[in-house]
Amino acid sequence: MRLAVLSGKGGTGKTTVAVNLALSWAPYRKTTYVDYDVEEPNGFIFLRPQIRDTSTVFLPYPEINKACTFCGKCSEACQYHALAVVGGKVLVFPELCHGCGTCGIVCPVGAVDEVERPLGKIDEGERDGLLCLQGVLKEGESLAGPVIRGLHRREKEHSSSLEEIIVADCPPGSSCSVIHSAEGSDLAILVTEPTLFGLHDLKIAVGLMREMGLDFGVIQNKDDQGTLIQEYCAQEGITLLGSIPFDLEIAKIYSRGQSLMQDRKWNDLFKTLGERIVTEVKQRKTEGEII
Amino acid sequence: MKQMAIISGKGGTGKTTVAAAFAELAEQMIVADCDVEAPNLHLVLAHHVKKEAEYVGNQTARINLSHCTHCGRCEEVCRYDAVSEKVQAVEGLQGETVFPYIDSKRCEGCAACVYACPTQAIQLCPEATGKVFLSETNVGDFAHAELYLAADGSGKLVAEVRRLARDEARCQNKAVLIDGSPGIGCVVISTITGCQQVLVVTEPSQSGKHDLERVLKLTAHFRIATQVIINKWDINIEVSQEIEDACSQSGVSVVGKIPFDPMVPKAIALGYPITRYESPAARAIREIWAKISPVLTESSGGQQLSS
Repeated sequence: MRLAVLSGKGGTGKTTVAVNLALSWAPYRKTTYVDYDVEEPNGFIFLRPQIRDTSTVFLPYPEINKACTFCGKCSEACQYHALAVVGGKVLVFPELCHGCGTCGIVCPVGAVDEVERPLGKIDEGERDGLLCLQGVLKEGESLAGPVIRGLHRREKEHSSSLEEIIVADCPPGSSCSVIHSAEGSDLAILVTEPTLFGLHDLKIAVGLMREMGLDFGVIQNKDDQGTLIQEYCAQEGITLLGSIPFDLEIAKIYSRGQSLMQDRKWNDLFKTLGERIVTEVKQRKTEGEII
Repeated sequence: MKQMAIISGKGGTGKTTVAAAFAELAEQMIVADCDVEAPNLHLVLAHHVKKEAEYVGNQTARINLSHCTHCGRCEEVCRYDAVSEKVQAVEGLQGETVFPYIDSKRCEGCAACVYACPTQAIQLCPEATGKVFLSETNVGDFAHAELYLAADGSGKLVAEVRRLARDEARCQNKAVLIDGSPGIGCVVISTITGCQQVLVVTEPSQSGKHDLERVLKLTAHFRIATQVIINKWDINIEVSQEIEDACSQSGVSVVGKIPFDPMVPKAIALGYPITRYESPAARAIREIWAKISPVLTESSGGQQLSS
């Protein structure tokens, strides 16, 4: 089964939930943790996997060869203004290029060759039987999409049955990066916090899940015993999968970059939460089949 | 006209708390919420909308199936896996047939299929991606936006919010204060380009530190003067020190530290900037503002670039 962990608002505890759930499952079933927050990946800080493979993600961009007649069709067709024909010269701006290949399609004389530039990388590692993947966008680069797509392909090489678990730690926000990280999941876990900001952005995430037609449930982090999130979930008929208390001890363990699983109390909490989620997914699957 | 953006790398470090406080302390600035995917500033800035407009910020390819010869070129050239075969009913044809289908959520509007199609059956169609608002607050005008659900192109919507804020700032001869989003990709790049000053709000955790290092590389890449605020600095004094050391090594100044303060979430819950209250965090933010505000009011030049 594939589980996506997302939130809308940043800093609500996506990585905490994704990492500790992955660690809670790993001793019992084949589990893969994938960090899709390629702009700011943090999961590996807590998991500290032994990296066994790093591959570069490349993006193609055009290089104009001698056959060019400076007709200007490439620059006219490019939607990203990555090409300009100026006085018998074609200027290429690789940092604006999305690597779509349109210039090559429109060139009537085959003057467009493609070369590649590095955009980011994908790391693969392991920790105590837990397979760990992360995508990392190079600083200064704007396109997270190709790194996310590359990571998706890599994840599929380790494709899982219902008994195996893939945990996708998604980026914050509600953009195409989130959609592409979450799609294809059996369940999306929306991590929120009981603040006005948390609730506002949870509503955006819920809307996005409904638009995508993805099954989802909510985990309340930094639970302060208030009723803000509970009331909203009850009103909307959303499953509250569990809560993690507001606790300065958790904040301190987190700030040191450690997982919570070393502590008996939090270990128990994530194990219970993990079992609940697996049961939930299987139950929804069976219900879906009956319907 | 000066522009300052508040960003963070890591989410949830306190960008909006700081932005709302600055907006109130400055009193007269144009404020822009560029976190269009998860905007929160409007929740703590009492405002009423003066102007709103739909923003057409994207285009996606659409097939006129009655012209389609089913040659498969569109699927072949698409590098975003947006084209697939699908059973569809087509006007003028009996029953249902398999035809190419373009998934608008995957389509990047690159036009490769448009040019590749031998029968000109594909066109790019403009798409509204959100709404932009200009609102009035008691501390100045406020530009913000709402991204439509699952719409692509948040970077362009950010650019539109900034354009709106800039136009107002020019008319009113004011500076622009921008509340940004987490990350370092296209949305953040769209948020900071052309700014004279970037403020990075971080927190004393290994994640915060890691993400700060990536943000500093980003602002160095674009050569924008950058200063750092450590929020909740006393949650982990050791990591705070590590961040200060890392900053001083890369020549970036830590302009202030805000203590952990239970009054901050309370103020948010009440819908007010923290500076409405007498509290340790509010005091720290006032001190920071006193140091930073001259950059926005200076007539020319601004801070030296950090690298």
